[in-house]
Amino acid sequence: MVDDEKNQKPTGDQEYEDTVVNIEGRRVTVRTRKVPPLPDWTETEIVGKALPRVDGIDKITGRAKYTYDIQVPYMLYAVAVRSPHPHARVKNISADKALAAPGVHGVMLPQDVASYTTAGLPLLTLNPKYTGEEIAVVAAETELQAEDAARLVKVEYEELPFVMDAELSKSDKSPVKFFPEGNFIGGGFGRHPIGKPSVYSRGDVEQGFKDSDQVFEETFTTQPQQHSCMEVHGTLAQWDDDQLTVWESTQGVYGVQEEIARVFKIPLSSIRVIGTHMGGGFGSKGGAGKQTALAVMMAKRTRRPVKMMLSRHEDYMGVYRPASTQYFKIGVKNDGRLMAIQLKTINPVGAYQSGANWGSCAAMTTEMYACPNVHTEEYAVFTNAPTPSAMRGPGNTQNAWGLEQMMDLIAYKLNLDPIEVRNRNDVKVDQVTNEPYASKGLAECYKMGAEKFSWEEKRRRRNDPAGTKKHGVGVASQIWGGGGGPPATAIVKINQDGSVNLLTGAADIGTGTRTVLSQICAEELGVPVNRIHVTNADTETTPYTLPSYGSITLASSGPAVRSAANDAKKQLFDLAAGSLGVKPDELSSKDGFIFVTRQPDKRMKFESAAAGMPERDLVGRGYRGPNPKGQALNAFGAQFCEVEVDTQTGEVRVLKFVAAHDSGRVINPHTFASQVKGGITMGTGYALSERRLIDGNTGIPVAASMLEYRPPTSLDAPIDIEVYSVDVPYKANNIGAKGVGEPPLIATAPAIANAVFNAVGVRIYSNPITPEKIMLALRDGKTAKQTA
Amino acid sequence: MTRSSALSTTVRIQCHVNGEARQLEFSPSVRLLDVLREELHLIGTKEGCGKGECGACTVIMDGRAVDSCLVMGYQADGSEIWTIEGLPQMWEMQTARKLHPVSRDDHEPLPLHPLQRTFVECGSSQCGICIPGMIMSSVAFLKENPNPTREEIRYGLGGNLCRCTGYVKIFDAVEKAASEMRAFAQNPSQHAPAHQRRVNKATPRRRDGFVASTLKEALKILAIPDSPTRPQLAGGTDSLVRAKDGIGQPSRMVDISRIKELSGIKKIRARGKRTSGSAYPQEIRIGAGTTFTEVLESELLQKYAPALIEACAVIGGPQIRNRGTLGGNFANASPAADSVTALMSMGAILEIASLKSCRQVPAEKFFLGPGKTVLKKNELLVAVRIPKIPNLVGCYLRLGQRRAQAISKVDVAVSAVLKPRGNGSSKNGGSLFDFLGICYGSVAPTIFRARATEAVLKEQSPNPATLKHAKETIKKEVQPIDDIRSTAEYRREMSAVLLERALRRIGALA
Repeated sequence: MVDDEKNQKPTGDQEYEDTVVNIEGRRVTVRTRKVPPLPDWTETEIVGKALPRVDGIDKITGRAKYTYDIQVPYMLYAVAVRSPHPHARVKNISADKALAAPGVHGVMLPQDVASYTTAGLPLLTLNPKYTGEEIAVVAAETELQAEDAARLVKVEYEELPFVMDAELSKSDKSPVKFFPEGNFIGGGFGRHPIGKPSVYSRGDVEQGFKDSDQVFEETFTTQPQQHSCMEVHGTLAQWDDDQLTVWESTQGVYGVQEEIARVFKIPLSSIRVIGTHMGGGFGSKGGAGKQTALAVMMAKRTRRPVKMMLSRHEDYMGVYRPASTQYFKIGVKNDGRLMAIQLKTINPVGAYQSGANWGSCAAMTTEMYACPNVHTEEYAVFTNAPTPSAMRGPGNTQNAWGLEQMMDLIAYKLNLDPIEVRNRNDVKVDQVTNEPYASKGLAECYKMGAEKFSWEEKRRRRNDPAGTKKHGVGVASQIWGGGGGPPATAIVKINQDGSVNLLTGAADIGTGTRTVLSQICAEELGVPVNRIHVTNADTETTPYTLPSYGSITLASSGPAVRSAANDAKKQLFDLAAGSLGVKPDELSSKDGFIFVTRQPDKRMKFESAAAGMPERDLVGRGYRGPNPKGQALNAFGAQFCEVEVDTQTGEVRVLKFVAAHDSGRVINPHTFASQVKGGITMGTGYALSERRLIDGNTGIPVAASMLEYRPPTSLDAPIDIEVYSVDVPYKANNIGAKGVGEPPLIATAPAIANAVFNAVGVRIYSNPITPEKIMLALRDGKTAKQTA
Repeated sequence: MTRSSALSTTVRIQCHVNGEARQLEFSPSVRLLDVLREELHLIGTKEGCGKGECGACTVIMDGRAVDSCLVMGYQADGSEIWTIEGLPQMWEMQTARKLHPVSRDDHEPLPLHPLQRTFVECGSSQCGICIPGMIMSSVAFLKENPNPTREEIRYGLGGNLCRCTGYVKIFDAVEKAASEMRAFAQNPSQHAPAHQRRVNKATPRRRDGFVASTLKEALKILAIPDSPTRPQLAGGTDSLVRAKDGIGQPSRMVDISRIKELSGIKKIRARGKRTSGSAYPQEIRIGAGTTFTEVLESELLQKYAPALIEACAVIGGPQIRNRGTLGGNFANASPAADSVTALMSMGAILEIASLKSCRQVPAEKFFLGPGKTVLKKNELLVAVRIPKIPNLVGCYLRLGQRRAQAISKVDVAVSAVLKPRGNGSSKNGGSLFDFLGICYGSVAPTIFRARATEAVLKEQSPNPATLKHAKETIKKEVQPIDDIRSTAEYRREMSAVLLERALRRIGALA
């Protein structure tokens, strides 16, 4: 046996290779198993059909259980005591009264958790650096008791100077020094030294500007955007002896499990994280939150299960997409070709270094359009604000607001069609990595979108000069990752009655993951989709996968599911081949039958084959293989928008959106369209109403409610949204699909801004485009700075 | 004293939930939402915000959609409640037939309400947290409007936020269900004979300490100096929102929503001297407990209070309109109280009662500042009276932060009686108006009547010069501020824009 083991092939280079995965604009190299290639699907029966969601019934009957819905016996509720000051030192803290309050079972203070951090953040602090930072946690038998007791924790603060303005913080005059080296960092992923911006350069921008016919300089700003998931952040933690079960509203159960293991130094096998149904994430639930660690610790201390759901108010005091100021300088030839782009961005990222990842927003500028000379410089600046997180299309969504308005502005100045300017700067190669795009359907998006929208005709239309309601149209484009990649594993179990269990670690954050993965599984097995039962996002029963972020879920787990189904199918074919008297590779399956490919009437039912399984079931495994080497994997899209602007009040009504996206193969047109429509509605909020406000004088968030934060209601959403897929073939993975979670949001806000410009001739450089800003711009012919 | 321990007692209520009679006992501090979720384990009803801002907790209470986070548990006494879990039964009872089974799998037929089915068929859910509330709002909405336009559906769901779907597929589902439900209603042959179960409505009973059943009872509590409890809870759309923010304790609020004397809309003979305009022989008395929805449904008010109808139609979303009351809108004294602006424009008089006395205060004199009124500690606002003015025209316009669930940045109500045209009076420069009331909200510390602007307009018939003068006057008359919702400058400019639009709408401008 020993010799045999020695003779076995080491799991070395032959079976594994390095591959690049693009997640939220971050390119990471991971080692992954090579997987046998599967032939491209030519004709599909189930994939590509607008089937209803497999969890649709659970959701419309109210029986879908979210973390927020889970009740376990003896459960306590935990509520945090939060700093009322943006910067302070805790002089004294007393929990005596809180501990004596009715129903209270435990209070945790900073000293109890001093040795723990999560994502670089202290769990509780004696030195709060933003309003709302956690100081203590109280657990009681009811939520009301916990809230009441939290008010009884007496904290004496020494208030310290604070800084809310990024420019001030970055300057020598900042009243707060966050680090000895300075108050800013480069931002973006990877290690950056504090006190130095991140810089990207190619070519020679100065020469580029000299070679340009015209040079345009503009400054754009974006407000912080908040996820506003309908389910707030929350955790339920339960210890059974040394086994921990955590229900978490999360985009990735494995990330949460790893973080708990790291923080508390306990084996992964002792931690089960479940996140089957979850009420929206949009980037804010990528991993464990502070409340995760706090609930786990409180549960350990009190020996009771502990649930810690944030209130909506607390949610709005928390994570967000950082604001940005973008200083653009672009040189162009008169024919519209870009000669040089210079971009400096200032992005306030809260008080901790870990927020800096999400401030970066120059990437789109470096890769969207052909341009030989590009220089970007980014400053992620620390302020006394909460720590941001990823939010749907992080970086590109901010950047598109500036870049796509610049392209529009250039088109108007050069008297060119905005689509023409974009087409003239189209590029087939990723300009940062010099890798060709595996597929790029952007030109097709422009073409299809323009046609469906009647772009030419609508652009020619003129408003009645005497009228007060002006129509305008605008377009904007987007680029995003979405190619996915390893690690992602799937298990397909065929039962003796022919029913199938699909096990995947992927979270369904509302996108329809469960549904599309079922379709992929059913397609590969050749059985109806209702044979498949999906279990997902449970670390104890489903295999590893990356979180559902970066629009990677479908293109990561989808291929793994197909491979797993193929593995299971092959095993079943081995059994069926004997019954049908042929070789296994002569078989196919479809509509619940296994048949001889060349002789389709020679067939048997799928379940009859399954009934013959000696082990009573069989298990197929599938891994997400490497991405093709030397290719850039990106999703593209163009969005066309029509608005009506009231020139007397400045109100904007979004009448129509036409979105054409290049996402490769669409697995389910229903879920695809839902993603795009939802993204456009969220983008409409980003463009017109949403903004997180912190009072600069007090450092206190002042719009921390759904009423004041203003996500779009049914009456604010675009009146009509049409969604198209350009169906450009994509062969970088075995299902031919790219992600579409984030792309729809990126182009929306600049498309609206461009349409507003087209309607009334004033450009709004800062979002949201409020009526107040439009009226000022109309009065002055330009835009004044304004916060409301 | 803390909220949870303020009153360590429990309350008991009777109600019907999803067609079943229930006797429930719980803490007076809990909301209907908590009762449903925690006592009855009906977890389909979700909390999205706890402040009536998202509609995720929408249930149907006595036939209307309400935010169950803004109803105290004890306020549900005697009510008939339907939640998402009960929809199949509700549909079976309404149609007196077994449901068409819909299967997710071949082997699992499920009875579903048509709306539930179309939400699945149209792919209307994504993360799904908002969906039960969306469906409950849709059920209530289709009951009122079985054949809605797309725009009406958008309006009908204005109280329900969704962050994932972009709403479009939700509208699709409501549209589809509506047509199916109409087809069903039009085809009586499908109605089985009436073996319909009857729901026996529980009789509301007195809940000492938490519910005042009569005006006298409420006034008695108010008369107690330093009473620990206060009769202030009607629709809960303000007081329970503040409670959620930690201001005020629900267990110390006494429910006044069941007081008969505070309800009703009726014609009465005018009494007392009017402080403004000419006296009209008849008045309309609207109980302070009248909800915005009741206003909207009143034929009397549709005819005699056009500005009020328009104002009530844009308040909050349907759930807020179903619970919020005129009295609350006044007593809360927000400068942005939409219904107040409209009522004040008609010269409303407020009836204020204490145990010992009763007084009348013109709406114009009621407010002392933001959140401040002339109401004394022992007094309760009982009714709003408006003159019944023949040929009254009116309108209400506002600019809000959004199109639903919004607080006004500036709003105006105009109520007027136009002199008959062609009698020469307007041609030769005489006043066009027999009556004119113009009120503004959100542009001063309190809602106010723009007397100077009225005077300009009443002086002579509106011509371009008068209009210009009036617009200049209103810009001086308002005292707007910069805040997180808008700017003083914008509000000032818009006051004039809305004035012109309002005058045009009522036909006072050519």
